Amino acid sequence: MGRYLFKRLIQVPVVLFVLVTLSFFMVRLAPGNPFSGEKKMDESVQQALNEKYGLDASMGVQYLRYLKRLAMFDLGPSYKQKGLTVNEIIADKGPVSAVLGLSAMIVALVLGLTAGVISGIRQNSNFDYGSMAVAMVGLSVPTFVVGPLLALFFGLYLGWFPTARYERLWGPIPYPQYLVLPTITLALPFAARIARLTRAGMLDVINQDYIRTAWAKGLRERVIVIRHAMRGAMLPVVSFLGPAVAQILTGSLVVEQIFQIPGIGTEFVKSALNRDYTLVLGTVILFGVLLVLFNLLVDVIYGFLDPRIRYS
Amino acid sequence: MSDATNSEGTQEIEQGVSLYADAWRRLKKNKMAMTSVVIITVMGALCTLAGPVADWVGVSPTYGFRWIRAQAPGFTHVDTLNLSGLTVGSEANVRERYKGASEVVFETVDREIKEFRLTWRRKKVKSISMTLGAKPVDELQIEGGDVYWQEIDADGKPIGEKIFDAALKKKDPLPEVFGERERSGVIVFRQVREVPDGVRAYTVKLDDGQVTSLLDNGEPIEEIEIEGRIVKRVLADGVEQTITHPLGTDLSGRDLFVRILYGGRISLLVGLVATFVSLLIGVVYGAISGYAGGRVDALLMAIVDILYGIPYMFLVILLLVNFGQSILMLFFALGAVQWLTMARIVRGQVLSLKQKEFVEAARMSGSSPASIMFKHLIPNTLGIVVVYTTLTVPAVILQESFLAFIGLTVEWEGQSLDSWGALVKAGSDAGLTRSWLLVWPSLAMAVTLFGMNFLGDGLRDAFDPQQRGRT
Repeated sequence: MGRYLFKRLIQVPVVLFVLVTLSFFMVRLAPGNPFSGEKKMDESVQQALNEKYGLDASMGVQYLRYLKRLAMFDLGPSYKQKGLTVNEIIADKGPVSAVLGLSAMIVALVLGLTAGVISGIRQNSNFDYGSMAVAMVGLSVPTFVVGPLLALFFGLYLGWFPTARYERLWGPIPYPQYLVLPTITLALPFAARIARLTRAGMLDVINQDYIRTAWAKGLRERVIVIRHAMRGAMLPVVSFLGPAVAQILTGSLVVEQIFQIPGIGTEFVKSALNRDYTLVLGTVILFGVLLVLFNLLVDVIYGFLDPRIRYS
Repeated sequence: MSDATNSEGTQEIEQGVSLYADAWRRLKKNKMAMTSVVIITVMGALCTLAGPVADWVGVSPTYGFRWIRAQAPGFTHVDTLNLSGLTVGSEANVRERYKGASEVVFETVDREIKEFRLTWRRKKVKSISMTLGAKPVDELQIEGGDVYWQEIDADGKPIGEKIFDAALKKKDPLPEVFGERERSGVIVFRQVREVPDGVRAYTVKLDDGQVTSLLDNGEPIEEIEIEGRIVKRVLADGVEQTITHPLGTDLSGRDLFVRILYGGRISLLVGLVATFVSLLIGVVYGAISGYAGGRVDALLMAIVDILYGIPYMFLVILLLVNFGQSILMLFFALGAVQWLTMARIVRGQVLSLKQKEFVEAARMSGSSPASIMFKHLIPNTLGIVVVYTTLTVPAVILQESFLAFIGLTVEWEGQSLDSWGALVKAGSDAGLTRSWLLVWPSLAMAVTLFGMNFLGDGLRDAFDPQQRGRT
């Protein structure tokens, strides 16, 4: 376990380095720069701007400068949102997306685990068939189809929830009615995957000897399911959490756009389209760090849950 | 169940059923998977034949009947495609299906257009005036019917819904038909009325597709130029020519059904080609890694591990934004995302296969490593590769549509190709009153992806029965 974790830990800086380098050059090697699109700009002004933001230096020098600043967690000034640094923008918009992502994750875990466990212990029941059919729909129908359809039906037709608006209640937290539809949209495919994984895990575990032993000891069903079976059944779910975070991050790009949530996903798309170099790089790096950290966390949790890995 | 296994066992001894025949037999038993095969085949055929289907419906995916705008499924109107440019003595630029007619009559009607300007303050009507006459009026009765009223923008293009029945009166609150508005503002809208005696008939005499004479209300003329929107009826040899849009039209009057088929063609093309790219890279990379083993394997797999940790979709977005949205770029970019898993799977297979006796035998008989790899190892991984490929295609389609949805539509030679994602996006912007624009493209896409995923699941169960019921 220790050795495996060590190997993974070494990979973290390598992954981040590759990511930063790839995205830096991908953004910079493209023709044009953030200021070339603006209406007839005086050449001297253009030059002054280039100088101010260090765009006049050679690509290599710019890259080294960027790395140096990055090492001190400074993502630089935004080119398009005057007077704001990328760190400030991320600190402002990030939590909004985090609230959405976390609530989606919680909903997905609760829904997915409940449906999966019940389907697993009551295999071939109506509940099993029903929930697995719903899960297949959740997996096949993309977020950007579910989102607009939900907004259309529950938002515009029934008028239960407001759409395309977002008002903050306290800090990054919005009024709950603004969060319902985006959360469900984002959580659905994720819940579907968890339900299927949990069900498969339960089916695997439920016939094993240690469960039979638990039954033989005369334990109640609830104790067996929660204490014994779920622990084993959770393993595939835990290993899915890493990719799931990636899925939620990309998913939030569309969900934020559908429901017009002022989060980091919206910020990323906007900045990619208008060449706000530093903001694009900053958001990509943020997503990368989150992904890497979650994958690492998953590895650690996996080790704790499965004694076979811990002691090997 | 045990009976079935028994009979299978004996059968195998007697006839030696191959892995593929066995898998095919198992797949045929899976009703959902077979239904999916049918769905995918029908969808694929329709999308591949989008061109002929469009001709049959009588529309093109890019031509918009702008004056009809967004209309609900089943909408039928006068067939006015290919109207302009009829000249005596030249080939008739009319519909294929009535080219053989001897006489085509176009009935048109002149329209009288009046523009009105409405201003309001604090949600109360402040003034109503005719923009040309500039004569303010205190009251204005709006009635629908063959007279229509519509809001227009600065260029005179219509915006939003037509207005039916409303009473405007100075100092009264703004009627509800004008929708949610700011507290104060100005709109310009127009009244279009057909002039009762403005009916004209253009008669085109045809002979074997050639225009022999043109009549304007009985007067012979040399050429005619008719705007589609004023045509009331088209008669070819006395038969009324209409066109029906089975799934309605979009905001610029383009046929939705045909657009869905063309969109599907783009989506499927991207899905197949990008998957093929990922297949090529992944299989070769995985096979080399697995066959070489040792340090090379460790290094190659470390690279895969590192690439796995990168949030790929974001890089794809950067790539498309910065280097153009050509479809070739998309093939490459999406293929490059997908090859990692393929490489891992193939490597795992090769790793276990290379211990087998048949590889030993090949090596003993002097085969080169390359020939062992391509002749013996890779063909033996095909089963699992097929399974994974069928699951990759819908994943790629999903990713392409995702990109189209956030505004990165595919382009080819500067023309944007609207895939399903772009259609869903347009539909989600269209709102409740034009919900068919969202529902139909979504349905087409969902059904196809559903089918592909079920088929992939079915194939996995067929090739590897022990995995049945897993993720």
